[in-house]
Amino acid sequence: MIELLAIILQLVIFLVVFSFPFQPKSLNRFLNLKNNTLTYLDAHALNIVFFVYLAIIFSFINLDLKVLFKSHIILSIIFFIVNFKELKSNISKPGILNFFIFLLIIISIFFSISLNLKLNWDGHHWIEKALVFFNGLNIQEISNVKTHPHYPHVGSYIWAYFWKNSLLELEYLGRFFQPYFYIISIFLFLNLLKNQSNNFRLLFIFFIILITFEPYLLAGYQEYLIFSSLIVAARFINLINFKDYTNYKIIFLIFLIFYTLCWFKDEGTVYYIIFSSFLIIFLNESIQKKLLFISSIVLLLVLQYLLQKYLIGIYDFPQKITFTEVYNDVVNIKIFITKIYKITLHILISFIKYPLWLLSIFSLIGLMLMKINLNKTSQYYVCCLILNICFIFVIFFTFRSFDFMLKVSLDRLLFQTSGFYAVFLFMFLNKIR
Amino acid sequence: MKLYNLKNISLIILFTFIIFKFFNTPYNIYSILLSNYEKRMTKAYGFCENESWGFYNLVIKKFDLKNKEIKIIHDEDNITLESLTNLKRSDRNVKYLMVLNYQSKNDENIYDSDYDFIKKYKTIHRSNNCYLMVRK
Repeated sequence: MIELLAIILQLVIFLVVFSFPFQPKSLNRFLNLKNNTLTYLDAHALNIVFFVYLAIIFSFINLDLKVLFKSHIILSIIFFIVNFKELKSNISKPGILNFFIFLLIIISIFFSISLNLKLNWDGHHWIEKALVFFNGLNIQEISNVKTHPHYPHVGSYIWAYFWKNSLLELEYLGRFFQPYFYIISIFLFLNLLKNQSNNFRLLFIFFIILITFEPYLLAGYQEYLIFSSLIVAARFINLINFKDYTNYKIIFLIFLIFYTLCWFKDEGTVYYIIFSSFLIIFLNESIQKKLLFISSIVLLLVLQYLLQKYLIGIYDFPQKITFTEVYNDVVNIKIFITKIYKITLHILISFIKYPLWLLSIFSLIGLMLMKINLNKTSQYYVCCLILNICFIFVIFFTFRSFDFMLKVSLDRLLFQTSGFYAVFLFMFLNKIR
Repeated sequence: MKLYNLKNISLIILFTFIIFKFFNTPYNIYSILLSNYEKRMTKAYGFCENESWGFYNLVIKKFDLKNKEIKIIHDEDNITLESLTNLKRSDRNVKYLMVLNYQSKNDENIYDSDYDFIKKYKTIHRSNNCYLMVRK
């Protein structure tokens, strides 16, 4: 019984701490948006991103996790009480229904993890970093973990943070952050579906959960962090007016969301570069301003390098690529064709495994067939998609243990970005309505 | 108004059923109530099979091994669970040695194994093919 209470308490903790510090009203004002543009859900998602930044900062400071949590929860409770009036005024009948369904789904996932609490393969690697923080060791200890010490540590830090501050200090309670962020991000899609009834939208959200829920990846993997962050980014990209007016605050906010990807996994850095760069290219701005944006992207990358290299003592990527090896594979036409064929085949298999990809691609084709001129937002996503797939081809082509990597990691790589391109599906649904 | 409420209540009930069925929620709650954390961990990782979490848990409690250095051999090359059990795994021949899922044939015993260093240890606890040994 006490474990059930611990699980429910964990949900309450998430609800409270992620109500801090942003509220929809202040957020709309700050981002120069019309009232009611951003909802309570958007604010909640941004609060999670804000928390990720706190995690990045505090992971380097080596503050006691319990002290940190106490300050966090006290601040959040005060904030919650102060803003209760605004919160109450935002409550609507569909809102209550959505919140109820949200609670049912999230608590069901929590119970499911609690029963099937086995860590899967990569989880045993990420937990080594989580233990560094859980045991209150210095961040430099990360460079001494046995497996992949160079991998980013923030996902593990968040795991340790909620693990240490759970009622029973059980490992799996720390992992609840990921499904919570995942469900919040999926519910953000509610804001992308226009002109539909709330019941239809709810059914649709449930359908998306049905095809994206993968318990295997919630057993210690970091894939859902990237998946969810990208959906949050997509939600805010939807607010950009690419044609004329540039809202710099939103642009920087999106950069900051993309930047968190670098702190979850190595491939996050590539996504950050691709998605941010295209965003700049598509903005209706002068070259000078675009260069300024590019510099800020590079600056943030340099900052991550410096922090990891000099504060942790390690910065690396999983595999060193030798030019001659790749060159030999490219000029040997047989190897080249075999590799390209195998990558393509595994991409298709992954599309079937994660059908959100199929839906997104069919929606894109549908939009094209309807002879609708793709607007700049769609063009942005198409460019990202093309470069994303190219990245997958290039990176897998260069892997030494080619067949093994195809089997164990290509599907996960595709899963990470599948939510980002789901925007096509919503564009299509909004058009046919 | 009444019809609206009825519609909403029916919808909530429908959603609840779908969600509970999809995630198996009532069964999960029942199982959590029925089996505590240790039972579920043993079920997930095995007692002296697969990763053998049950054996770790037993000997850590019985011999107070928490945070102690230990050499762990998993004879089926499965993943070892020192991260989940607060043990300090060492590759050196430290005081304690844990051999999990030892693979033997016919009447072979653990001292007939290919691991020469085992001869320096004596068994202090054994469950099936899992051994906790201490340096002689």
